[in-house]
Amino acid sequence: MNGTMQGEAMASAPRSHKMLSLRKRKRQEAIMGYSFLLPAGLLITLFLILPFGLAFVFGFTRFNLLRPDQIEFRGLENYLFLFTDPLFYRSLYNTLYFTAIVVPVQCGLALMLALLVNQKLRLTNLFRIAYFSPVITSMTVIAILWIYLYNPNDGLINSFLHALGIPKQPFLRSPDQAMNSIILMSVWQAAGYQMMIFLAGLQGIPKELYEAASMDGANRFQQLRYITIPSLYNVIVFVLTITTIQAVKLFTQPYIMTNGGPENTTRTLALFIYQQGFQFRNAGYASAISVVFFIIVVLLSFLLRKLLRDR
Amino acid sequence: MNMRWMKILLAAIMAVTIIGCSSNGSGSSENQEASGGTGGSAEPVEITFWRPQADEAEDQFYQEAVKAFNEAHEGKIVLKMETVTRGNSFAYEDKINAAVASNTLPDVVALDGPNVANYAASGIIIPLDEYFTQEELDDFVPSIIQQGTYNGKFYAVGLNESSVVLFYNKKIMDEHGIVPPTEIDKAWTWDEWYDVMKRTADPDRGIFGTNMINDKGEWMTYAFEQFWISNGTDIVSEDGTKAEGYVNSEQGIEAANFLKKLADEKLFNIDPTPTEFEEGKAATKLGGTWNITGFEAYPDLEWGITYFPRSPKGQVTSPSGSWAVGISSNSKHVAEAVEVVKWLTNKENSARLAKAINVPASRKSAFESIPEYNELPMRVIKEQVTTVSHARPVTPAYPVLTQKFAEALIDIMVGADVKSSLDNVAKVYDQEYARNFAE
Repeated sequence: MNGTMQGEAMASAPRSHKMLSLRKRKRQEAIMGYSFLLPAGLLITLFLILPFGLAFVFGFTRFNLLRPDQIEFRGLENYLFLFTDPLFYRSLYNTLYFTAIVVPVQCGLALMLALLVNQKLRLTNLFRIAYFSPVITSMTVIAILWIYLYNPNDGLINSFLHALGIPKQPFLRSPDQAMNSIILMSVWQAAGYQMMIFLAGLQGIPKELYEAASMDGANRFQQLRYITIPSLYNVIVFVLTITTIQAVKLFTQPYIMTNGGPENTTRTLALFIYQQGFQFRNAGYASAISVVFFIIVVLLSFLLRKLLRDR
Repeated sequence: MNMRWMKILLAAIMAVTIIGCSSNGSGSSENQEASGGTGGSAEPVEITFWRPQADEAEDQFYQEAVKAFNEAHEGKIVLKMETVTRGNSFAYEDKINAAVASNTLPDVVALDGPNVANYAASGIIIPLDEYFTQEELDDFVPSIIQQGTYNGKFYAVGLNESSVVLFYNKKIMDEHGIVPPTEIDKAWTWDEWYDVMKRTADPDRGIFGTNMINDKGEWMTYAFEQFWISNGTDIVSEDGTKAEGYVNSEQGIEAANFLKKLADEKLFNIDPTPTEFEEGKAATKLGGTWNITGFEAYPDLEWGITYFPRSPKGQVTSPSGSWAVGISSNSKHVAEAVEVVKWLTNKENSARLAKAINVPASRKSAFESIPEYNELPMRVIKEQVTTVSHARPVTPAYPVLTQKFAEALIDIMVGADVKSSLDNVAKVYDQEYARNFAE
């Protein structure tokens, strides 16, 4: 089909060449291009750019979700309040803490898993499936299951610890352990996804490189250090970037497992925005937080890009 | 067909798909408006009604009530009910929020008791005083009037009430020779209840002194605010403007300290399994009357009911509150919507729903048609509902209050400092009220 289409296009080419000047054709192509852009552009404008623009505007207002007819312009009030709100700083800290731990741990673990399941062993496929299956399970389901695993009295994990002679741990019910418990679960859930991407990257590395290296006497670790990692560099950049973006948006786990507690140690910015906007119906204040959140994410992405580019 | 035409065709298809989607959407909403607007003189008036999905028995009750209503008002009013999924979260409230923004609220809307103030303050439901005589209102138990009233006006009518009692496991009580009180003036004080828990708790057999965490959301405020009330204070002032000096008052701190003591001594499970009490793993259970339905699946469980424990210095009090129905300010057929509200909340329906899902009725007259409530153990529930129950605070900033209070209680139960946790509730609530509701 592709062939005939090309043939037809070529057959008609001399005719159109005669009728249209080069400039006209260029303009037509541009129109064509824009008309292809239109559907996606419309959707993006409608569901991304417009809402964000509105959030920017609403950030300067007092807007109760139940009183959309009484939106009041309040200038910088929301922003001034935000910068004195201890919960904002706490949420920001929690979000950054989660990101700072999850990104390296999850990506490192994913790389290790990928190296493991890339070997030609029996049952490799079974392991691949095992590591990947949490990814395709709904986070909500997993979060609820882990609440039971983490149960401070008779949870499975505590039963194991008890059998090993370690005292029972409160996990999600302790300000010191709650966030780390969520991190552990999140890493377990999502590492399979990054593993798959790394695995695809690994399989794209030519075997000859390894053969040459081993002939030159490089051991396994040197092969990893000087062949695998450099060859995967672009994949690593990609994985780090998407993991960071996912991490700063952390919402489902604390929403389901702890609702931000105990003592606000698992309240993230996304959860904070949700509670202000939908539970407390302060759409104006929630919009202001979203704008600040957006700026923070943009700064973070720039930082990440700069760090990874400069190498 | 050359390539250019292929491209144009493709772009056209994509564009049509999108326009098709959007015109579909707007088309259906126009239809809705048209049918809402033209329901005039000759044709029967259509009244729309939203309520959250509940369990099977409750859903069935509503379906039957709507069917009976439509048969009784044939040719005059058509009641259309839409059941909205709620899950364990705020999906129903989110839908209401969206409907407010787009002016598409139904005529009759179900709402949870503590939301009345918030909705009334926002003007999305209308006062019903002129449609009810004093005599009609007097038939409702006091807490129904209390939860439905905001700023002196009555907005929402409950079909049923609810109450929290102290269930006990008869076998465990017998083992220890404990006889729970059956008279309201002899209701256990906190200290007496504490002694009972101390004696009955048996970590080796996995038995807790009590089970009192139903969920970590609305339940916390619904059940535990009573400890504040019983101790002579509340979690906000009566007019709802201030939490400072109430939730963190001396009496309040005492109440929280009592709960903390139970938690510290592991007399209850902060993360209980849903059927802990049913399986005989808890000697008592601070639970809602709706739990009774679940007990029936455990024939080995012998249970009894006693009163909500009271402060040693204070009165017996018990939680109350229920879903209620109100009329939205979008309604163009208020008279007919009033008919619906009155029908749904009449004596027969109140009694029928009470029987269907094991909750107390909202009308005094309805209790008379349910003889079980005149004898133990159900008599305890009736006594609490008709004499000592309290509705949750009536304040437009309730969403913040309940969230922050519940968070603070859980924090306290897992070891946070009592005073600073309660001070924080007071601070955040007062800030919220001052920022958004003080006029």
